[in-house]
Amino acid sequence: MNQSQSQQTSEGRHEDDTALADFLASLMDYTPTIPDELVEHYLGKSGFQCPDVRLIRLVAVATQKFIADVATDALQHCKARQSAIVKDKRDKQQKDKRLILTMDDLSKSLREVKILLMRADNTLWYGVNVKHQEYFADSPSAGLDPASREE
Amino acid sequence: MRSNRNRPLAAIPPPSTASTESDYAFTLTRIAVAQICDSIGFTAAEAPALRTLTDVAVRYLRSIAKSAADSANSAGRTQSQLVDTVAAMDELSSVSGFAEAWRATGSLLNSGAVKNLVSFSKYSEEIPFAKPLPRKVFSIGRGKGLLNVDSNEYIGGEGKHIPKWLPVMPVIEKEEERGGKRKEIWGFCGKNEEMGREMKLEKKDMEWEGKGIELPLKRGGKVRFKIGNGGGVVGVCRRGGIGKRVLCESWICEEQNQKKSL
Repeated sequence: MNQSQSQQTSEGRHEDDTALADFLASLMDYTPTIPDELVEHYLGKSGFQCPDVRLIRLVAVATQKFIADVATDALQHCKARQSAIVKDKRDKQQKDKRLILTMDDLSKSLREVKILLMRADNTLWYGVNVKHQEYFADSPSAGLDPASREE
Repeated sequence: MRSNRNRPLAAIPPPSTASTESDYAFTLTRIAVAQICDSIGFTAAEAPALRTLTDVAVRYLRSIAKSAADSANSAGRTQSQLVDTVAAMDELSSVSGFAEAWRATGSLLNSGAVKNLVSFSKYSEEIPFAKPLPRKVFSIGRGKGLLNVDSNEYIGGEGKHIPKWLPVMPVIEKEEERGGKRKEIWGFCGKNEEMGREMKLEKKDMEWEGKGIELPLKRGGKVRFKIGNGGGVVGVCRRGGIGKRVLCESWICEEQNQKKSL
């Protein structure tokens, strides 16, 4: 029984490793928006040494995803703001619906990041986007009923 | 309304990356960030917002690099591996579930950050950078990993075997130029020493008189040796080892350097 379990876990690990290797290999075909040279430059400046190009790509994709997430959030704020303006001035002529990345929307999308950053270490903007998950026991709603938690 | 607008700005120091980082790299990052914003659906961007987002991107990159490098160093390695990178990304990203739980499973693919990246790379549109970049500007020698970008000493094929943490080799031509002017006293070379002293007296250089035959504190010139009796190779053997100067047993001191004008 134990042998079969260990075989299953080893097979699962093997599958995971294969999937991870496939993903890393697929990164060689993927062209991130942030070029490799730029990522290498910044990584090298911070002491990151790695000859593997796939890891550079991985970091590039991670950065691209992070920026895309922040920008998507800002875009939603922008759209919400524009729709509110249109509702207020329904009779007047509609302003142009160009979606412009403004400081307002960006700061709204970055607000959560900033607050948690200041909580994580007292230096402002030392690291970016340190969104630590709150431990279950640390949560003020821990141990409460789901109904009371919703309230 | 105004207070709401000013509050987040007050929390952020003005992006100082543009002044401290090289402007070139920052400008390239800004182009990439602008491309990302364009792909998401923005038609335009305010310059301060774009600069701030670029600054965030740069800091994100540097945070990942620093975290991964720290992780590798704490594990006794100099080069970061996939585990360090995944741990750094996992630390910086907000994943659902238990953070660091993938360590218990032993599979990096269980990391939420990696799973998000897999889906992102699978379903997102591929937007290459606007223009190809020249690679040699940033790094040379892929086999050794990243070289020091700021110093151009090792660019050009020579000295690739030298570890980059070593200080820069002094330029030999300049040393020879200096050596022509400097008097180097090496060991007990009596006659030359006397001649040198006479020359010094003639030139009324009082600084060197008190030192006598003592070795100078800072050796700046180049000392040449003869291998064997009479003939042989003149000069310090540089190619015997990697980055080492090989001293031979039987050599005759030949003084070449002259006094250096301080």
